[in-house]
Amino acid sequence: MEEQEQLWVQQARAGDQTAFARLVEAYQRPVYNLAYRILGNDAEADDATQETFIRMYTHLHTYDPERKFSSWLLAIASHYCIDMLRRRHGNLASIDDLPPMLELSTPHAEQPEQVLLQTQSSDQIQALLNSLEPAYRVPVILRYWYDMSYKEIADAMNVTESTIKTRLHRARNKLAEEIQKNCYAMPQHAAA
Amino acid sequence: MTNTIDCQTIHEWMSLAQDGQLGSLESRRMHEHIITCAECQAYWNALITLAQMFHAAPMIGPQPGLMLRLQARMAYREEQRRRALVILLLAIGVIALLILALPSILSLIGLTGELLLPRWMIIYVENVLSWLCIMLGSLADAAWLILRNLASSSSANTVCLISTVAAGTFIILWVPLMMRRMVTRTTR
Repeated sequence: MEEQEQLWVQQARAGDQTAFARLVEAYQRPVYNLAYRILGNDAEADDATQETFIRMYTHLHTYDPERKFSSWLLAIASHYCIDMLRRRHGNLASIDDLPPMLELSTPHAEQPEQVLLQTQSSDQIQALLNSLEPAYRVPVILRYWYDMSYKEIADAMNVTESTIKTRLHRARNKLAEEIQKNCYAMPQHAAA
Repeated sequence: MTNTIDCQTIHEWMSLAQDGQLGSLESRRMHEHIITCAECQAYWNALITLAQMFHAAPMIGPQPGLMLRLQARMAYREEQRRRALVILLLAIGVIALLILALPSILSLIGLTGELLLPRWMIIYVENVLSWLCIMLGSLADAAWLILRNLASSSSANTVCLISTVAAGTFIILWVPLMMRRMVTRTTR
C-alpha cells in the first residue's frame, strides 16, 4: 500500500489528476473524521476536508517521502482545523453544546433502540471532545482514532514529545472528570 | 486514601499506561495503589470507559461526492486566480499607457489650456504632472532594480540586497520631497 501510495504521490506531484483523485479517495474518510472530531459539525468538516486536499495538492512538492504520508496529510488537516477554531473568535462550544449528528452512518437495518444508543454515544463523545481546548483535543483524537505515537503527534503539531505527553495527561484529567461528573456508561458493544 | 502528590503521580502513570508507555515496575506499583485508593480507582475506571468509548466510535466519512465538490472548488479557485491576473495585467497596461501618454497630455494642456486657464495654473498643472511622471518613473526604476537584483543575487549576496533596498527607499523618500519643493516654487 505504501509503495502504491508513494507512486500516487509522485504522479500527483507531476500533475496527474487520476493519482490525485486516488489519494483523495484513499484518505477522504480519515481526513473528514479528523475534521469532524475537531470541529464538531458536518458543514465545517466538509469544508476543512476540501481545503486539506487543496493544500495537499499545492504543497505536494514540500512533502518529504521519508515521512509517513498519512501523518503529513493529517498534520495539514489538523492545522487547518485549529485555524478554523481560532477564526470562531474563541467562541468554542461548551460541553453542553451538542453538535448536529448529520453524518452518523447508522445502517437502517438496525433496531431503533440501537440507533438511539449509538447516537447518544456519539453525542457524548463529541460533547466530551468539545469540552477540550483545541491544543488538547487534537492529540486526543490523533491518539485514539489514528493510533499515532507521541512522536508522530508531536511532528504533526510542531511541538515536543513531552508537550504531547503533558497535553494528553491534562486532557485525560478533564475527560475523566467529565465522565465521573456525568456518569457516562460504557458503550454496550464495547463492554460486551 | 494516600496523599495528593502520590495520587497525582499515579494519574500521570495511568495516562502513560493508557498509551502503553509505562514500565512494568511502575505499572505494578500503580495497580497496587489503585487497590488501596478509591479516588484513583474511580479515575482509572473513568479512563478505561473513555478509551472504550473512543475506540468504539466509528470513523465518520464525508457525504458522497466529495471529489466532485473538490474539483468544482479547485476549478472556481483557478478561475478566480486567472481573473485576478487579467485585472492586474490590465491595470499595469493602463498605468503604462498613462505614463506614455503624459507628455502628449502635457502638450495638449499647453496648447489649449492658455485659452481656458490662467497662465499660473497651467504652469502649476504642468509641474505637478511632470513631477508625477518622474516619481512614477523613479518608482518603476527602483522596483525594476530590486526585482533584477533579487533575481540575480544569491542568498549570500546580502550586501547587494541591502544596498538595493536602501536605494529604493532613498528614491521613494526623495521624490515626494522634490515634488513638494517644486510645488512651493510654482506657487511662489
